[in-house]
Amino acid sequence: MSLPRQPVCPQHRDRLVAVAGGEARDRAIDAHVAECTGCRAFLARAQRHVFALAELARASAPRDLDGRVVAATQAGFRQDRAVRALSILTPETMPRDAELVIWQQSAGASGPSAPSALDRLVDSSLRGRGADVGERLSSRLERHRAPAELDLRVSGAYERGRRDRVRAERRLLVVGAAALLMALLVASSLFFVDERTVTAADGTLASGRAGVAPTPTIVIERVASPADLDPLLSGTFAGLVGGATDAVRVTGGKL
Amino acid sequence: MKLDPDRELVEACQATSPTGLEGAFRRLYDQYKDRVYNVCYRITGNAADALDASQETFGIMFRKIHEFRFESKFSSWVYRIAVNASIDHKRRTSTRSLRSLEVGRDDSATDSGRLEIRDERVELPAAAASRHELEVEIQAAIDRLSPKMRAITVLRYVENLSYEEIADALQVSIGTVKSRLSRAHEALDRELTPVLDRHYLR
Repeated sequence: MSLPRQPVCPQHRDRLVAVAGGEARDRAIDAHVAECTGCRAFLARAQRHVFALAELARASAPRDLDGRVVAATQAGFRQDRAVRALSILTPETMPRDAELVIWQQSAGASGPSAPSALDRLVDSSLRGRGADVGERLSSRLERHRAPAELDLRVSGAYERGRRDRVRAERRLLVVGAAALLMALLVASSLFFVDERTVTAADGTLASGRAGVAPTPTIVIERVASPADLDPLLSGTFAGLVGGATDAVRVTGGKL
Repeated sequence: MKLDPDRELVEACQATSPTGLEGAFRRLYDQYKDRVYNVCYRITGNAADALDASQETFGIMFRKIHEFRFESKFSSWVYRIAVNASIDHKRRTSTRSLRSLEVGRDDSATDSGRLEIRDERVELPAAAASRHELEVEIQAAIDRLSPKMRAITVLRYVENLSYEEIADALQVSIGTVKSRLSRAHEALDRELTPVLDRHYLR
């Protein structure tokens, strides 16, 4: 455990630092240090700091620096030259059609329409002095605040977009339901195709499931009574017509 | 005021408006590049930032040299630019770890990360390793000082500038230099004394 440090006399601190760094010789301080433990310890520590810092190795500039400074100075030279070139421009030498060029650039890819551009050019020429054009150019290049109307437009566009999305989702739901219904109808109709009713193109009977009929055709048979139907077909049909066939069967064909 | 030793070269730069790193400006650059880099290195604490700050220093020096009016010593002016560039750079990259000094030293594969130390003395490997370790710790202690304390410590004890030269470079009074140095020693007492105790007492 280290002992608590003796406090240094505040009025001597700066001079102790100067002595530690070799900035000054100070007999009065020497005499004080001989008697004051706190100041003596502070001076010793300060001298150690000075010694340690002075012993730090000197870093020399890496070779990279030359290239980077060459680049920096050349960039600086170009910048200076540009500034000098601009500074010799008096208001009178400002080209009058400069406004048109900048305005066209700021108007985006489409640019202004020809008559309005011509109007502006004529207008600036009539007003004459380059200083005036310069003022208006600089004010045009200022940053603009978004108008309040923009909020309305953006929120309106967002609302329209949301409504369109809901509509599209509903449309998709209806189309999906229709497709599902169609699929169910097709699937159920397959049950009506009895193996016996599938014939080959040459008129001979063939198995619709096992055989590979070139062009199967569906033959619709009239039956006098639901009882004559194939049991599987009869059941499916009964399900579709809500049990009416069973009623026919019970009443002996008389409804 | 004594005649500035750089006056002739500076006036030559002002008379010819240099177009790049050539002529009188090149001579000034050669004269100051190590001093500037060293100050930047000790204030920023790592090689990459020191290189950026040095580049910025010479860029500013190039652009502003024609405005220099010999109201202070040219060297003080250069130190002022270097200190400000380093502190600004350090502030911008303050999120970077203090360990970057180690990285900068270990990254010997690239020139930009390499630290060349001029030291003609021959040391035994163990002593060199110990010395390197101590330097890293001293640099870390410097890094923990506030920017003002760091600048004044580096100018006084690393660059060995006098109180007057420091006052000239930092544009403060000699009284301010004294009090800042005094406070710097208080801070070093906290940051550096334990490092030195640990190193020399083990």
